Amino acid sequence: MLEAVLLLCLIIASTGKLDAQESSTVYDPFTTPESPAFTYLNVSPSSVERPRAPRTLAVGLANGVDSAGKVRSGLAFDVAPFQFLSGILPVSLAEYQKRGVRNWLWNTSASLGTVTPQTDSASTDMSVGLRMVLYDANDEMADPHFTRTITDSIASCQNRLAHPEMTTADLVAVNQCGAKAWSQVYQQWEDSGRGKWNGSGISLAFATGWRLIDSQFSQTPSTGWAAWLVASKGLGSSSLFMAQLRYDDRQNIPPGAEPERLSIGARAIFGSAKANAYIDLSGGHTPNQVGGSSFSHKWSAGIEFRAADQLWLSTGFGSTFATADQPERVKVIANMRWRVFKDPQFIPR
Amino acid sequence: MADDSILDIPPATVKLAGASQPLTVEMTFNTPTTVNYKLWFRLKDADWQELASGSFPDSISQAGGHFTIPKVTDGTQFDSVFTFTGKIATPIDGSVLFIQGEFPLSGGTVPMKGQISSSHVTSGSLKAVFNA
Repeated sequence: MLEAVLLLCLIIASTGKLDAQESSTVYDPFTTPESPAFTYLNVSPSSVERPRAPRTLAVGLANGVDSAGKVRSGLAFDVAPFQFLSGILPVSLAEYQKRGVRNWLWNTSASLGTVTPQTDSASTDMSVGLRMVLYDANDEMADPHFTRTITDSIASCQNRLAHPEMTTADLVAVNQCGAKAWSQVYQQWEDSGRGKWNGSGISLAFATGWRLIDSQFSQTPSTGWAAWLVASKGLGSSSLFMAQLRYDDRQNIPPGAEPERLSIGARAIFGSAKANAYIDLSGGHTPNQVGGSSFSHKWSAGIEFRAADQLWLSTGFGSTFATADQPERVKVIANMRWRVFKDPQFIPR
Repeated sequence: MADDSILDIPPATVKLAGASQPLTVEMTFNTPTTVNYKLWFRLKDADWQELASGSFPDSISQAGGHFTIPKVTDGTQFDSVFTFTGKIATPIDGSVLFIQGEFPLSGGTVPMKGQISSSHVTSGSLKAVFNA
């Protein structure tokens, strides 16, 4: 009984902290970073600019340099650059559903960030990153069955509500009907198995950076680069296998936090969209300062279940379960380590 | 506060190349959203008539995004509703062309630009009047 109360307290106490703690500095190795530039810099910006037009992006970048020509710290941009080019490189829905190069380009995002390095407050570290989703089985807009169903539903809304000389209120009514249709069609799509929790996918990301000496572009030594590749394959309706490859050659890592130079891992998940069991295996190669290198391998296993919307509980064991850098999210209750997350283990993208 | 699910499309005034001649309405869409449309027209002092209704991508329609008003006279009006669905914040980039002969008429290229709203649905109404 006491353990149940403590667990409930853990859930309540953690709920408010989750969004702040969902940081790109503590990311799941089986996902490619949403914004690789921020992950590269070990930052989680509280505010990210996402311009939707080239002019807005240009103005934002220009404002990132002060009147003395120095780059400001704290810049954070995330854009989908090829979506600016729809007039020159159109991607119709039919083209998108071919899942070819235009689909990849449309789903490519670029990020840029700046931060003041701990060891040199006069300089600025800058990074740019790229993320590309090559395949995503859970992309509803790439599924002709989904889009046919939604257009049939919207046609029904228009047949009932649309007429000449519509007012704004009339359009709102059409949209409300359409929004309800979207929710229903999407739920049916998920329930039918097409929008599977264990859908296959592959994504990759890359980031590189420079140190702007004295925050100016006149001296910009490189700070290295990093790359991520994650692939997942679902089998049947209750299993998902994931693999990740990461190369990290950054020189701006805080002391004591150096990641492995090259790491590779595999994860197997068995269960459903609401509860599952998992096992992770990973290995890494880290060069040391005297010219040699060390190899390490780690594992973890456990179960996780969805306690509420965007609230997952996980318990397990192993060398990588609930590592020391996440003390706020790990509690020991009833001799078991529990941790709290906003997302489950099976989001590979 | 403006409703982010409404696409603002300014009304168009189109100069006809020739009165009492056919006019073609051509639509193109350059981003991966679904599009449902209903088109109407009415001659001066007449009732509204439905010109077309359908969706993009549409595997059934043979029209291919072209619809023809058989005879357009001075004062003919055009009205329409377009409903777009897709992932939130997907850009909307389309256009409607009013054509007589081979080329769009003066004032006859009407862009539709915006983005999919937070409810996954955005609608707009394109209205035009044709003058000789």
